Amino acid sequence: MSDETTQAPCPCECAATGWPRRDILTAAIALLMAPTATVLAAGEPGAGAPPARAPNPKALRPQPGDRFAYLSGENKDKPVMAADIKIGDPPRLAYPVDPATETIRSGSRVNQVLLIRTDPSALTPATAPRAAEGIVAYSAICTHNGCPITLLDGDNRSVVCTCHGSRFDLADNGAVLTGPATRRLAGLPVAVADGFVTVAGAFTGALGAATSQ
Amino acid sequence: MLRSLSLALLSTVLIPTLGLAEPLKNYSPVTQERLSNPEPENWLMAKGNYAGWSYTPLEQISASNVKNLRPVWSYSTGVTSGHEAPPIVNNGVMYVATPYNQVIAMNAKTGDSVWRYKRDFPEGFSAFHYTNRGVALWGDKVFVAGLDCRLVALDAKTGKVVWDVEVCDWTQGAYITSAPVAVNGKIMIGPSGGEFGVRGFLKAFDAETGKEAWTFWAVPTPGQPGSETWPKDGRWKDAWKIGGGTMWMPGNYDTKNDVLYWGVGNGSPWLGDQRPGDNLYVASVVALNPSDGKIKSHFQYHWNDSWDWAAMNAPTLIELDRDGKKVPAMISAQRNGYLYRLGRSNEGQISFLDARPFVKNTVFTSVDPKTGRPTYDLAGVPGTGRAGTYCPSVWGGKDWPYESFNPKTGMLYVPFNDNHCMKYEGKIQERIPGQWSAGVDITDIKLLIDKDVKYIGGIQAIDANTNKEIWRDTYAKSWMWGSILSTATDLIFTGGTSDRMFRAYDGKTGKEVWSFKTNSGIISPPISYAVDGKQYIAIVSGWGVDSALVQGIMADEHGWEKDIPQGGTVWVFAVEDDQATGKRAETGSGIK
Repeated sequence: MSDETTQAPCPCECAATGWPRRDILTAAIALLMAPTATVLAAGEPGAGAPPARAPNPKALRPQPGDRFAYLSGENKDKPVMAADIKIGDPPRLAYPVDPATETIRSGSRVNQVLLIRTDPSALTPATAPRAAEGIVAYSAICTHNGCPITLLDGDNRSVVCTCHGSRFDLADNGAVLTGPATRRLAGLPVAVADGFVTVAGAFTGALGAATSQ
Repeated sequence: MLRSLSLALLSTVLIPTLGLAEPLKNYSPVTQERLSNPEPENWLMAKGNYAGWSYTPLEQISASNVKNLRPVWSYSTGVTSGHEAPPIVNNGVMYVATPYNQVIAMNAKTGDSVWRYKRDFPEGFSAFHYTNRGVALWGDKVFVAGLDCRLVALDAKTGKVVWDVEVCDWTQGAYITSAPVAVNGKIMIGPSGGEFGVRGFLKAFDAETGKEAWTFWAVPTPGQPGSETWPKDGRWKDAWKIGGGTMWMPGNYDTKNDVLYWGVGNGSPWLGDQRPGDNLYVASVVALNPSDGKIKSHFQYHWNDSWDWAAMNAPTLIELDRDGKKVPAMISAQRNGYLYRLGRSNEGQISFLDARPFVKNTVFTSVDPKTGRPTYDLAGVPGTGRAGTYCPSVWGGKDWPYESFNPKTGMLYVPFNDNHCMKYEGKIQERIPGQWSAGVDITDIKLLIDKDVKYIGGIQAIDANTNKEIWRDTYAKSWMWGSILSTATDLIFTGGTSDRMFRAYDGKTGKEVWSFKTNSGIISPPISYAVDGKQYIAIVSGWGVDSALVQGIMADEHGWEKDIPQGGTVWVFAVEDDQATGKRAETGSGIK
């Protein structure tokens, strides 16, 4: 097994990162599930839990200001520049990178992000505020069976998981267009700074496929 | 969120009942002697015996009373996705594996649950198919292999994990659906992943400790015999590293001569021109020594596979009548649409006897009568940047469901699909770990079926001695996804159709003699067992995986029914000989 899974600690590591209310609730529940993990910030639900241990930076969810690095191919580990992404290009699969330490956050598979550029005028109101110059970012992990999504559809705004054919509209909040997936892809707010695509917020929904029944 | 929380808390938690349930108080340890000569009342492995017959010697349920077959209990697994595991029964206790790698232990007579093993996969987990094809038994343990590439040994009495070892790496696209096979204290298992650049193998683990005993690589390492059939240099010199040949179905075992016969899957990527050569042991059956995993011989059904015609089904071990003598042989309806008969020597040497198409194959222009090697019509060979149209499609003349052999009559019963073809053009795909990289996007694969097609699915009954078809049943509006069970009373049982039916046929004539509509479509193998002298037939109904995918295509393009209900249920049937009194079998739970 690769260290992607063995190094991934509990999901509550994201709790100290100033996430919105919905994610704090997720973190609180996560804390219930794994009471020995990272302490939450003072004043947040769950304060007073056992002492903190240092979060694994590789497994932290994307942090505001993070850049991106390609996760495969000849540009693997190299930075994703905004100018590299054009309308009609296949999705760029990437991991977030801490720009200070250059740590690639590949310690958890749900950190895999896909980036495409769309026509900014096509973006719905739910999507436009978290796009930058038409570039949108989403969790790359299909919500059906968990395959990374790699194919752009002919409309230049939706993507197809080539494992089972689920389609998601990236101009409309990751909505499911075709099953078998039933849950939308979580978005990730992005910005462009010094030519780099950067993270501008937290994932907007649940990540990955169901892990049990 | 509450649902997630409760699931997380339940994961890998056992649900034991107080004290040991009745059939577990005197659990009968599973020995090599018992596996080699399984008692008629038990179903100790996926296909019922090592020869792969899917046959029951029990004789209570017969043509004369099958009309009185009634459900005596059922059990909802609470799990969706395709249920492909047969119930495994050992002296009154039944083990059913479900998608998401759960195992439910039940009292086989009453349907009361005894324990349940649940598993939670890692966050971000992926597997191409979330199915499982059953457990193996050895000693006092139950073995289940996981989508997350783990082989787990459970205490047969309590469901407690005894050991849990790694077999493969799911982050690279490997996943396990196969039932493990137990032979001589070793547990054998191989992963799937032939569409994800996985190099196939079979591994054996010590049943007591979980320690790895050996690995057989289905694509030989350079320098090993067979490696000469792979590119040595040039652009495709590393093709062997991602060459496929996954060994994703349980093999068969010649107990007399101590030889394993295992099937090897398709080439990866699908395009043969990205790995020029015959590509041993892709699309082959291999004979292996169970003590060390060393290969004794092989037979390759077709060279340089370009069609996803995986040969994962091991041939069924039979004997043929030849000049008044019984001669050891094997028979197999393969995904490539040909029915093969092969010889097998005491030393495990495989020889080619003959082959004939049992469904339409548009690629083979001939099959060498001495060697079995086919020649191809190039129009039917997809290549990189070159479209090919071929029949049967990737789902094959017969996919993974088990054929059945009745040793009393010499009949082989084959669940088949005909009149379906495929067209695709290959490309070079970057391999992204965990993503499909078969050399063609799923959106570019076209399933071709004539608008006025008369049937697709069906059953063929074939006399193994003469190789002739005796009868067939065909389904005008359904594919066939079901395995077949034959009985000593010359009945066969099967499901596999989209109308959710479980059917019995007269094995001699093909006449349907009984049917029952279940909760969902049946894609798991039917089995038979007995408790306290009473014979039962069991099936798990739970449509999903490829049956659902293809049904979706048929609905969109041919107007077939779209939504087949999903969700697994174990059904157990018996002949209700006490109908006259209105008394039910003893399945009450004692709550009154």
